Amino acid sequence: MSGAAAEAVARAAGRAPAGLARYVGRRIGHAVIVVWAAYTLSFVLLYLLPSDPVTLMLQSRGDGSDIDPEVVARLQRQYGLDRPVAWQYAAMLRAALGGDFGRSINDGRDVLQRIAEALPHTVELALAGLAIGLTLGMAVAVLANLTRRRWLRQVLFAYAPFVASVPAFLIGLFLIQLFAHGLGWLPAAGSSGPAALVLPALAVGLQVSDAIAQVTARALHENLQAPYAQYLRAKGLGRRAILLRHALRNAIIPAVTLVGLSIGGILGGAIITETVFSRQGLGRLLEEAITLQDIPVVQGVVVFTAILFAASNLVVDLLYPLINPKVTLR
Amino acid sequence: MASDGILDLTPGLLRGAPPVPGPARWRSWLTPGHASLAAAILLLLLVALWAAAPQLFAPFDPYAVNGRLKLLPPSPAHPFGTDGLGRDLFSRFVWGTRTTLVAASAALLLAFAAASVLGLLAGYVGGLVDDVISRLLDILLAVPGLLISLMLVTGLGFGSLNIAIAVGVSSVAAFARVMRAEVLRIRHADFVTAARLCGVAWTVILRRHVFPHAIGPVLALTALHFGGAVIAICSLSFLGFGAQAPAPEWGNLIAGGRSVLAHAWWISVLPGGVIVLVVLAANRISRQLERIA
Repeated sequence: MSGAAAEAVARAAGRAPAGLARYVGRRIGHAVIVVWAAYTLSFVLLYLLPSDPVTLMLQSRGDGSDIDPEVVARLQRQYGLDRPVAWQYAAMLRAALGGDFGRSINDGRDVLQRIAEALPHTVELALAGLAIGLTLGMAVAVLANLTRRRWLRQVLFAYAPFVASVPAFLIGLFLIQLFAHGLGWLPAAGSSGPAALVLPALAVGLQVSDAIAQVTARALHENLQAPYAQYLRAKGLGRRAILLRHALRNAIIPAVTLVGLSIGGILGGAIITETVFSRQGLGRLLEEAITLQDIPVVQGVVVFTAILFAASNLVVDLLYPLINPKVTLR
Repeated sequence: MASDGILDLTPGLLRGAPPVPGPARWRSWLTPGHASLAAAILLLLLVALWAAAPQLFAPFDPYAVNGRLKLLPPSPAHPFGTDGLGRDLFSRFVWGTRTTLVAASAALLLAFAAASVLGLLAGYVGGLVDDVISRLLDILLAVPGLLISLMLVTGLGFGSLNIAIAVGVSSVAAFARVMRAEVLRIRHADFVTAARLCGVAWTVILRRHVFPHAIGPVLALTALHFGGAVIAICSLSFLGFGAQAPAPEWGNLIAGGRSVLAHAWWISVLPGGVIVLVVLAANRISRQLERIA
């Protein structure tokens, strides 16, 4: 090793920890800002936008004609809605930082407790869906680049634009119709046991798989044209070996980037999928809370979905330099 | 770009194939790509006609209840079958088209209008205005779109117009970013500087000189979002936040079939299939627009 190269390696080794620390710090800071943004947006949209949140909440529970002004005034005092906006925001943010998201208007239970009950179901669904989506998307992409049959390749390349055109709730309904009512293999609804997880996870997985299939298929195609692939072919390596052993490794990088980008979509898809399958979870909780105009629960679910979103993006961001050594840590 | 002008020295053979003369030209028009594009345009035209004049296409009254026609499977008289109250589903679907498509278009129009104003101000005025607007857009971009829509629906209440606003606001940020970038590109063009030197008011410069030149890519983006807007509107309406029963809307028609899916599959599946076809057609056309742009 020449002197200059040794010096460069030593310099890189010495600088890397500081660069890495700065990178991790920035990513954590970004995650915190996302959660704060979601909280602030929820305050603006849920407490400032309606002319009177208390009346809105009371209306959804009765016929709305005989709301006692006395009760409205008392509830407004209780929620601090008679104070200035900045005071309300500061007080609510401080309470939320301490884990107090208030109580449900509907059943009076602690919002945090209701979220704690629902959260594991959504995480389970999102993870299972992500696993299925990654497997399915990768399989479609690999097969599309591997097959020599023209019609099969065209069908596989049409997979992504087709699935992207099917709304999440329809994917769920079609799966229920086919596998639960038609074939009778799996339960159509509920949240108990692994059998009830299969169809919802498949629904979320299908929604994730289209983008992964599209991006990976394109990356594989480009990698197979790259000079290194031509060199491997000249060496006598078969197309399948080049694809599976060499091109696939490079094509995983855009797929991982995409997972980070599509986490919001996965959570959104989980919200709709849970409703379609009548499964417990954050989505069901949110849907019920919106129907009942239960504002504290809506806010709590939104903030916790944002936390999930920011946390999983953080994980992807931190994994990224491990997968792609070429990435510059900024 | 440089090779297009008078300095183009590329030999003719390298510039691409010469135009195909005679009958072969016809054959090249009949490729699967063109056929699917034509089918997509025809389908969207048909759906637009449903929205414009449902009474000409719907064979029955969408609200007419008939106890003897409950849950009939599809037949020539009732192409989509009937629902639990004996209403003709095809008629209800055709009547629901207007509500759904108007909501999707209103959402895009709102997003386009708000994004234009925000993008123009941020890009042209710059400084503190740009900082404030850009941070606001960052916040909107950081939170998943569906959550923004659902919060707006909670704050505004239910209804077809409110879900249109909810979907519109959740896509403002993406459009405004593009608008701002375009304005930044045009702001220092010679004709803008010339107008400013002539003493034209800045509002007039924005309206007459900057806006018309910045609008192209944003309009293309709007067209690209049409399929997505239809999906978003149908999803919110499916969850029950759009038009309230008995008014028909694509999403709530499908939701109405959920409870009887086991023995009346057609209520959800047939309208759902048409929605998928409409979104596929919209996406096919946007892909073509993208290729042209």
